[in-house]
Amino acid sequence: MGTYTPNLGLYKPDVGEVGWGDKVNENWDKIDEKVTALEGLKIVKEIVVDSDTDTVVLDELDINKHRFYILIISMISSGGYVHCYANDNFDNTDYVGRYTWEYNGYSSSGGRTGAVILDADVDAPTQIVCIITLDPAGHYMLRAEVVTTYAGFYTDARYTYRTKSTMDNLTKLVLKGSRSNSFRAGTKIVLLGVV
Amino acid sequence: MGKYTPRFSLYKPDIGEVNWGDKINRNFDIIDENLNPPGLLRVVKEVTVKEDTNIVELTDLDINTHKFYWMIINMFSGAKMYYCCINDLRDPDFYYHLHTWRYKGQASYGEADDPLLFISDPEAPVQVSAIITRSPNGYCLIRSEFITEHAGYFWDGEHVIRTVVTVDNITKIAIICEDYLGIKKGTKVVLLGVV
Repeated sequence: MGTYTPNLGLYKPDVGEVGWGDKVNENWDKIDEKVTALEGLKIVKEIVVDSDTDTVVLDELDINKHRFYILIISMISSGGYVHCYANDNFDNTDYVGRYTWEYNGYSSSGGRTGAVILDADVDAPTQIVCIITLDPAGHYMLRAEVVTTYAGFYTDARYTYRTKSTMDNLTKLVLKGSRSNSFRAGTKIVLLGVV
Repeated sequence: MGKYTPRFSLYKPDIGEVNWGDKINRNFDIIDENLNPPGLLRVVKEVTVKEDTNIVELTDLDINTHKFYWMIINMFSGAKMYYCCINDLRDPDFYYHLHTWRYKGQASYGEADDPLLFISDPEAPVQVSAIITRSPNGYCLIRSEFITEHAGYFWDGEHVIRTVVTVDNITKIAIICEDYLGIKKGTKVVLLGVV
């Protein structure tokens, strides 16, 4: 005669026991019924750029399934802008937004278009953390918090956008630099979502 | 030939079946993958608003177990002022908040004795990210970052909220708007905590 586990009541046949098949099969039913795979924040995409490039594409996404995205970029700026476009919408005028830069005891802010999430010095070590959502109507909404260097000053920046247009789902993020080879080899990109 | 359970596809050998050892070992792999190790950030509560309302309550919480909460709100607003109350502390005098609002080329700062989580325009898309903690001496602290539209401008802002009374635990979070039915159908709230 075997024994039962204390929590789920799973049957453990004894050594040499026979006729335990049905009881062990009941174990699988108990496990299947009671084990809940809790959803949590997990890596959906991870890219390490292996050679300099202008564009990085994060595809096969599904924000309806993943709820929201946290995009973390660790890079060395090549100067110029980095855009974070939704799906294949490269119409800069569709992205309504604003920026705030704080550096050297000074703050500046204003309106911005084009889903720009970085404007930095050449060779600036840069951290970008974005929260990306779709509102219930389907507007792409992005908040980017940036640590970088601009005009020689250590800079804390924030970019926020929403699209004028709506979309049914966000399935692709396209990171595009305004200069050639904006993403240097070694750039690390991690995208998290609820899985 | 045995059968598979419906959710996790665990194999149940038939009576008299032979050579099922690998399949049973695969069962243990599946269980091992799906049983969740502790200490990960997971979805504790998730609400999708089915009908327009003026309150969303997240109940059966336990911040002492979950360590902290990270709340993401995607909404299409129907009001201007949205508040965040904990437990049954609904009187605004239980709270104090500071805010920074950025719009156009300017920033403004303010404070009040209430738990104002964010502001918006009716029919504006809203993204809110809020971190909620309980201090060791029992005060609830909330930091929200949001993007939206208000007064005809694209806005971003931060609100920090603190209770002026202490609580033993945070078991309920309520998002409340000032106007009747100002939380529109389709609004999504995801609450993550450590499980």
